[in-house]
Amino acid sequence: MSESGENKVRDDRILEDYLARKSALSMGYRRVYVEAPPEELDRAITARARRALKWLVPGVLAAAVAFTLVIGINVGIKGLMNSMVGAEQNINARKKLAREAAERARLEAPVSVIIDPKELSTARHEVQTTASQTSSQLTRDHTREQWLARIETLKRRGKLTEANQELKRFQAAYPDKVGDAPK
Amino acid sequence: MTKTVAEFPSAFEQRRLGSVDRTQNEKEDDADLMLRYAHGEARAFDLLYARHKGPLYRYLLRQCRDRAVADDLFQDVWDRVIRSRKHYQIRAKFATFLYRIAHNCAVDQFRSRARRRDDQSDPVEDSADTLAAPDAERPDRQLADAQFRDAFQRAMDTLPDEQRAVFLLYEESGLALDEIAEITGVGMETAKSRLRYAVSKLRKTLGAANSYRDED
Repeated sequence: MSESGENKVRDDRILEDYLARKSALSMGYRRVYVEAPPEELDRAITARARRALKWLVPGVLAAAVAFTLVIGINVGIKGLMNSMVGAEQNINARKKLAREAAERARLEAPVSVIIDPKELSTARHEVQTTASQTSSQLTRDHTREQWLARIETLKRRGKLTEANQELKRFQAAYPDKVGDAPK
Repeated sequence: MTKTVAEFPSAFEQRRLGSVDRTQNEKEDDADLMLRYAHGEARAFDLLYARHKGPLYRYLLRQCRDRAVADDLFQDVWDRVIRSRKHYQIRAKFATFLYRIAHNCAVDQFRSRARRRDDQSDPVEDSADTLAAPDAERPDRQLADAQFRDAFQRAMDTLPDEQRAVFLLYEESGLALDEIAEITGVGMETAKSRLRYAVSKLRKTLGAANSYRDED
């Protein structure tokens, strides 16, 4: 084996011993270097670590209070909104129920009609007028021959009074046709 | 028996997988601690800090070689961890998250120091003599440790920033090479290569410290 190869193998073995922390180099190092930080540094650093935590507790408390407030306000607003919506829905539901009850009562109530005599008289007059108008309309709508034939029929049936009334009406309606009227 | 180059990757993978298994609970615990801290548990941060403060501080100190700068960076890193608690998500180990922040802070500091050095030509402070000496029972041991520490510091000073970063991350973070590669933004093989060079150079430079030499 060449010199460099032997050196490499030796260095590897030395490194292996060193990595196992069994070497005299490592043990010597640990024997003579045993310093520790001064106590002032210990105190300063641990005090700083504690001071950092002192801000943590109020911070956590403040965060918890803020969180609770936010949640409380949120819940309060939601509750208020819900109650408002609920009240509106309640009012609408009550209105609907009232409407339904009124309709039901109206349908279930006995029918009673109060008739005003004046209104009744007026109504009768209107009916008569309408009938008269209808008759006149009917008269006008009849042809002259049909009217005469009807008068003739009334006479043949012996309804002379009625036939005479019709004849009068015919003569009033057709004054120029008196000659055509039945005797 | 010496392993061949062909056998090496499997052995390496085996060690790496072992590392992952070993650190799986730590990952969950650390991440859980961070989440607990984010939720307001200060004690969780204390545990997290206690677990990582030493290695992180040593990583920054070795990287910066200046205690004052390391102190500032150390605070800056933990400040960022504290600030990021609200957005923290378990995507990787907490150590990966922590050392990525630390590495980025250190790199930013290198760049600003390089700019200052260009402007003022100030020498970089060698903090080896300012570092706290480890506890040791015997004076001769103290002396030997101090000499070794100086030698180690000088050896590390000779390493390029990238190799020193990989070495220190491996020593201090407890992370596997693939995680260190992720932190430093390079491929796994590149990170491995950097570590190999770093270890080799350190061993050569520290050759004089016989008591700490590997048994070849």
